Amino acid sequence: MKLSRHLNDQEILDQIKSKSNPNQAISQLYSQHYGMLEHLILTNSGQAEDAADIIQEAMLVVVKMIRNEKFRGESSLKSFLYSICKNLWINELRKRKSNQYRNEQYENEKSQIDLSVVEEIQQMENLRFVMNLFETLGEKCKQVLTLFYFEELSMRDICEKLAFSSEQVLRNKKYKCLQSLIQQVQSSTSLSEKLLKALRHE
Amino acid sequence: MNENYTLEELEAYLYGELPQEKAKLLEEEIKTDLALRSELEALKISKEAIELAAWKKVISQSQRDFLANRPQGKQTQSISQGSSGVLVWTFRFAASVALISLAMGFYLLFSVSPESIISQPVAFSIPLMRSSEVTTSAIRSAYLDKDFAKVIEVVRSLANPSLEESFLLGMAYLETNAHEKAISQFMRVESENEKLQTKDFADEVDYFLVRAYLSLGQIEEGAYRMKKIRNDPQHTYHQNFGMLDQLKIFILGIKN
Repeated sequence: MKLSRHLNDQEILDQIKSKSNPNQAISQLYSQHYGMLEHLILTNSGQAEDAADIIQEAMLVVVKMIRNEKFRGESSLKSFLYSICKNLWINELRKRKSNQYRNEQYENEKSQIDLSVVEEIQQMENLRFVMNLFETLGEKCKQVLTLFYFEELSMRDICEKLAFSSEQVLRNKKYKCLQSLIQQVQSSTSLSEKLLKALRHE
Repeated sequence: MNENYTLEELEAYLYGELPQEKAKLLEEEIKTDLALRSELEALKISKEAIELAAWKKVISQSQRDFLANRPQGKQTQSISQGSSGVLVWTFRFAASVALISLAMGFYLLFSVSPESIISQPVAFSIPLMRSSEVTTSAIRSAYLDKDFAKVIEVVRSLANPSLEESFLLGMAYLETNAHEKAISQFMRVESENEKLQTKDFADEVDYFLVRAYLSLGQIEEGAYRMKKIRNDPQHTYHQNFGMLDQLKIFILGIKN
């Protein structure tokens, strides 16, 4: 992985927000902060594998918050990633209940963590469930939806790229794929309840 | 699925692209139509999940690349810092103890002397009612008066001194810094005890021999007597030598 130059926080934020160069932005986050984040986990009862999992999850939360404009660089990306990782690790430790003492220590420190981060992490659980549903769709469906919603390609470009006979055929395909996913989400009673509950709180 | 709005229309609403009138109508319906609300929310989270699934792939690939190309040294360093944190702290603690011990060792090496061990000796107290003989009483009185010269003079004049008189002569020599004579006298008491199968003044002999040997710089002999006292919990002077005294005498042995 060759990096041409060190990007500053604002450049990374812009690249994630605009999706102009997602690979470079994420690679920079790894090269700049992985060591620090890994150290946090390793020095708090975690193993290297735990650190890898937690950091990956933290990156996803950061991307989500940047994309939803819930993080605009109010603090440094370093401290932001650190607080997310810390919070995710607290949750993980709580689940494992392997080290009560450390949990208590972490619980005491929880008040220092930004509540919006806690909320985002909770929302990630629902999102992860839907992401798994998405992975169960057919390969063509996943390609169409990814090219449309992530890469934001036009129907014409997707049509060419995936060799659809016409844009209308593609449009129908996209409709069916999205509808299939939505139906699966709605048929998940627990998730639907959570979503409606969240709505009632809005 | 609701029958009033297509997915495209719901998407357009989320993007803010639905015509104003239809958008207002939709908002009104959302307030009462739970199924519509649920569908709209499912669409919202589905769109976000599709995008995040793609981001997850980017992140996973970046992590794989990063870990694969990570300098080996850095990896090992991080892992050892965490997984063997207890070991690191144990090592640090051990290193600190070793350093302190080394410093103490150096301090003792340069500061320890025979005098530092015997600088505060226990004084010998004559036991009461031990002898009613007139001569012995005179020797005792002289010893109590610290008239060691008289003790020496009287005991030496005796043809066949008792064990107590011989011991007091040894003590008088010790008090007048005639250490060699004191040692010889104490050894005589010890051999008499062996001969008679008694143990009169045996513990005192051990203790004051340490003092005499160390005063003469005979460290090995002093160390032997000290060890004997330390190893015998019943010894009268067992409490008078600690581990530090043994360490000091060990260092004295090295210095010699």
